[in-house]
Parts: sequence; C-alpha cells; structure tokens
Amino acid sequence: MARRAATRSAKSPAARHVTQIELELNGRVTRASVPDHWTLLEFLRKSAGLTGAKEGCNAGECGACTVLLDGVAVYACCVLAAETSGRRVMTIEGLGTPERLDPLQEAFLADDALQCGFCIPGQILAAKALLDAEPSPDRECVRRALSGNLCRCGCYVKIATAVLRAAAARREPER
Amino acid sequence: MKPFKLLTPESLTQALAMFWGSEGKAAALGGGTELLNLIRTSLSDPGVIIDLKSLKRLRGVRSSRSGVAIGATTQLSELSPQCRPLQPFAALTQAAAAVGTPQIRNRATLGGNLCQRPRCLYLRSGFDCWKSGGTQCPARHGESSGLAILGAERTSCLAVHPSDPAVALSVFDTRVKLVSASGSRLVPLAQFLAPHESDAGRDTVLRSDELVTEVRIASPRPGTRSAYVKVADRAAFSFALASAAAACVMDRGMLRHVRLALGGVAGAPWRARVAEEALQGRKLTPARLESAARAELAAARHLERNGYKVDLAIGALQEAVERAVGGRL
Repeated sequence: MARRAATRSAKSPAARHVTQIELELNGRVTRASVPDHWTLLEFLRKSAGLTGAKEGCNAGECGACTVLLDGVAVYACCVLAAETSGRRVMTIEGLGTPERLDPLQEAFLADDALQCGFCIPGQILAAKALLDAEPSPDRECVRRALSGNLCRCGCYVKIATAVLRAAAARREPER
Repeated sequence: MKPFKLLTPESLTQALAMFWGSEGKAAALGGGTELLNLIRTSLSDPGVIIDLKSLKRLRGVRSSRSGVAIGATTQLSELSPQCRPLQPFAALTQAAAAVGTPQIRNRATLGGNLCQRPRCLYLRSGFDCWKSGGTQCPARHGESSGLAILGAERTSCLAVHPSDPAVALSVFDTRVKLVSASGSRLVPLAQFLAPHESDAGRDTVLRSDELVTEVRIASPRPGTRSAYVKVADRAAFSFALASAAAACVMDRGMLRHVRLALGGVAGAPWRARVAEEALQGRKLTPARLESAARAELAAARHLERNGYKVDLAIGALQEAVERAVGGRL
C-alpha cells in the first residue's frame, strides 16, 4: 500500500490540512481523506461508521478506545488517523461475527464478564493482543496485560476469568 | 483538537529543515501520548506537527564501544529485559516497564518521555502558573500533595518531573543528543532537564529548532547491578509519588561506585549524593542503608499535603539498593 501523500485545499480552516490514507481496516482495504488533526478514534467513529471503540476520556487514561494497530494494542485517541496509512487496524467489529463469535467474545458472555459493557470492546482487544503473543498466560499475566483498561463497573475478576477461559478455548478449540 | 498540518519527513536533514522553516511553531511527534493531550488541553498550539517515527535512524537500540545509543523514537515497550544491549541497565528496563500502561508503552517514545511537561494538576487544568508562562504558583497554597520536597527552595515551580526512565538514566552516565540544522550537541541528562531558572516556563534546554535524536548511556563498570522502584497510587496509569534508582558494584560485601537517584520528589531526577557518600566503600547493612536514606531526606521541606513523600522516598531508596544487590538485607 502507498505511504501517505498529503494534499491540501484552502476551503475552511478545519479542512485545510487533509491527508489521504489507505489502510487495512478489519481486513478490508479502506481509503479515506482525513483531517490531519483527527485521531484514529475520530476517524473510526465519525467517518468509518465503527462505533465499537468508545470515547471515554479522550486522553489515554481509560482504555475504552483500545484497538489493534498492526496487532499491537494502542489507544485510538492517541494515534492520528493520518499515521495509519499502510497499516492494519482491527476494531471489535473485525473480531468474530454475530453468527460465529470469537472465543474471547464467547468467554465474556459465558463468564458474564460485564455490566454496562462500555469498556468491553477495549478489554477484548487488549486481551486479543495478549493471547496472540502469549497463548498460555496465568492470571497475573492477564491482569498486567489488561491494566490499561479501566472498568467502572468493577468486573475485573470476571474479565480475567473470561480471558483465561478464552485462552484455553483457543488452545483446544474442539473441547 | 485544534487543526494542524502533519508533515512526514523522509530524512533527518529534511526534518531539521522543516523545524528551521517553522520558526518555532512546529512540534515533534513521537508516540503522541503526550503531545496530543497537550494540544487537546490547549497547552500546546503548534501549527505544524512533524512526525519523526518514519525516520529509521531515530529508532532502535544500538551497542557501541562506549555503551548504548537509544534512538529518540524507540518505544518504551522496546526497552525490555529481552533487549540484549540493555542487559547491563536493569534499572532502565524496569523503569520503562513501570510507565503508564501497555497501550501507552506500545506508543510512547523515550525521547518524548524525557520531554514530558509536568503533570501538575494546575498546569494541566489551564491555571496561570510558572510553567504556563505566568509568574505564580497556585499549587503552593492549594492542592500540594504532588509537589516537590527536595530542591524546591531553589525553583519557582514546585512540580515534580514525571518520567520514570529519567530517574533510572540518572544512575548511569547518560547524555542526550540534540541536533539542529546548524549542528549537534551532547548534553548530560541532568543538564538537559535543568533549564535556567529565568526560563521557568520550560522543562528542558531543548531549543525550538532542535530535536532530541538519541539517548546515549556509557557502559557501566563491570559487575554493576541496578534496580528501579516506583511507588504510585495505582500500578498502572499513575505517575510516581516517589521512586528510586540504584546502581552499584558489590565487591567482597563492600559497596563500590554507588549511584542513587530519586524521582517524584523534585523538579528533575534527584541525585542522592548524601546517601551515596554514606554508602560508598562501606559494608552494606540494613542500619547503614536506612541511615543513609534518612540523611538524604534530611534536606526535605514539605508543604501542607506532601509530607508523606519523605517516608516514601526513604523507603524507595532503601528498596532500590536492596533490589540492586539482589534481595532484602
């Protein structure tokens, strides 16, 4: 994919600096024109129609906007959309389908690891980054990997249990 | 967020020309975990942002004859114990792992970490203060719980330096490489973080046309062991209430080449020279360690709500030395 090529027009101040991006978003090549000052979170929610990544604090202090950038967990509110050209972004919408949920999504349901659900897309993507790198984590490892995701309902114990369940399911999918 | 123009230089030379051409209005973008928040809260208003991440020369850890060189845009997650050249610098890898959260460490860069603005609530909430260009400190007679307890009589701003890695780097011979279109200079870390008092609004000696390109650490003496201890109200997200780094060589039960530093207690990492002196060349005992730590903090002066930091710093300093030499005494 092409690296970004900046183009400019002199219409309104906000539209003055725009970058054309081409990224792989949830497995599909996506092209868009984004204002330079837009974060990845703004692009996902306002332009790409993907509202799974949540805007909690918009300051890198809650984790609700966690997405995967080239497989690594990042806060979408701390990444500029214009920086994502040529890269892979995965949001919760890219994980599983309503008919066939990802083992992580199955596990969060099975363990009832949520109340309001606002933080869950971020929790699940942080967990996916962990399990992709470490298929057999212990509880402490899970706690550390998800320490950048706050849950105001306080579901931390069940969330860790669900991630451990998903890890086991991913290792032995037939059981 | 206020609009800006994003530039992606293809070479360091091009990046420097962009800075030169911006007449002080450009900001360098590393991981974005700090800069974007500064822009969102109007503490920074750059018309132009220059993304340094595309410059490969500025990223990664390289060994050299004299030590290691860490590129300014190297992510904190890359400063791991698995990184071979960093194995003599355990305090640094421990400090990098103590920063923020996994997501922050996956983005935040070492150069950006050293260039952070203070986390003082008053500065971050838009109050008029020394660091925002004013001539007063609303924190001094207000919410003082995060403020400095050491060296504060010499500075107008009482905010503490927020970096964990900077404290660890202070127990090694660390220099910061600053490059501009007209040349480069290597500045010792302590000097880098000590702008002149008449320049109270600034946090470093970095000029507006300069870039931090590299952090160089000299190889420590053979046998050097080091550790970093952070005390914070949460294990993730939070900045240190107090922290300590220690590096030393143990030679037949005697401590040699002791270097100690404290974080969260002063406007820059605080070299604990009083405690170093008290331990240098002596046998390490729990009583001697405690009295050395207490002696260092004897100079502490506290305000209404930050007195608790004195005991935290004493404890952190002892624990850092204990961990460096390999466990509880």
